Amino acid sequence: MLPAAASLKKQGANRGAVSAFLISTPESGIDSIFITYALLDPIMTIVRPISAFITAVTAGWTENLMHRPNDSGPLQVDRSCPVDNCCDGVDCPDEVHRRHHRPGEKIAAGLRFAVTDVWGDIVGWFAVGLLLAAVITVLIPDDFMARWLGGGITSMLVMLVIGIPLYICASASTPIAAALILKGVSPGAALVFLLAGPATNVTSLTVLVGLLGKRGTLRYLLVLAVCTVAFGLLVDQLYAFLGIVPAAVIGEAAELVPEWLQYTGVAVLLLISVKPLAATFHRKSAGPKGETTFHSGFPIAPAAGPKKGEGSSCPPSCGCGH
Amino acid sequence: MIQESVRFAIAIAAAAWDILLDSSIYILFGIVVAGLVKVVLNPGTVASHLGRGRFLPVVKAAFFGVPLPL
Repeated sequence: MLPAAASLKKQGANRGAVSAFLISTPESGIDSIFITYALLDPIMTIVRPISAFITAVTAGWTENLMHRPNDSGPLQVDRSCPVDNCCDGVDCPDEVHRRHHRPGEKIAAGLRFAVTDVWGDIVGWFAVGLLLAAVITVLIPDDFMARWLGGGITSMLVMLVIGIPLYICASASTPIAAALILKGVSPGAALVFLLAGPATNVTSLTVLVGLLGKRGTLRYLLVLAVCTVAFGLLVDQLYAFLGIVPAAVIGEAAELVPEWLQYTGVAVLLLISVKPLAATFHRKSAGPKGETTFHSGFPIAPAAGPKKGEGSSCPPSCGCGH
Repeated sequence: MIQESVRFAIAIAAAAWDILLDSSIYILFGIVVAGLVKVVLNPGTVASHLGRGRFLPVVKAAFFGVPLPL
């Protein structure tokens, strides 16, 4: 997420746009929307991306209003081919550029991205999230959290304090939120965790200071905190208004899936998890610095991972950043 | 003591297995769609859609960020 934002800034996007992108990208993604539908409920599935969008726009506008963007230079856009970096897109007309690959090749590339990039990036975090959710389910007595985190501004603030320094991606935070709601945490407080968890963490703050400056980072955090808490309170009101008991509807989508399909799903998922999980462990044991390569680099390297691209036969004009 | 921790570990594994059963098929759908989106909408080309100004580029950047898995 951070390399993509850094590149956005390098290409000439203003600070407001970069801030907005920095919030909405990690807080919401197609993968996490699907997982939210599976483990939470339709309301959260809709509310999550909408809150991410509004928070992102608010932060971006605040940034651009406080700090007038200097939009003089032209945008220097990286248009290199996403399928296999065959062309850098410079001096290549749009019509031709779009037709370098047949639809079949594009779909194949998409499936490869799905397994190596998208799932490869998530799987380690998802394993941690799954384990944490399971521990919460087993260890914490039912209704224990209802007393502390059952709603109201205090619950939201507690979740904010937990979520801001923590790094967990949007997909991996979902099972944890589901487990919390089942233990009596209000859906609004869970939403605060779902939004604040992925948006920031201790290490990304230093990168944010580099991208937005110290004041910009402070504004970014303030807007994030205010919007997130506001959405948390609103969502609790929404559930109360609709008369829905969250714990009763959580995970209902899973019941729509026939059992054989569930087992097939687990089998396929475990199968495609072996390689990236093994690579993560390998990298972790090789040295702590490996963690930065865990997120997909930018621009997208052909086939798997940023490392493989280095040795590939790349014409000097390929524009893929080697 | 040992017996208790074994029972605890089994309970954790069972809870994790339940969540996995509930979510796997949706995760698979999610990552496949996300992968296809990545081919059509390269995160690197987002800048080309933004344009100039104080307000509209922000809205567009936020909008592109919502589906993008990163």
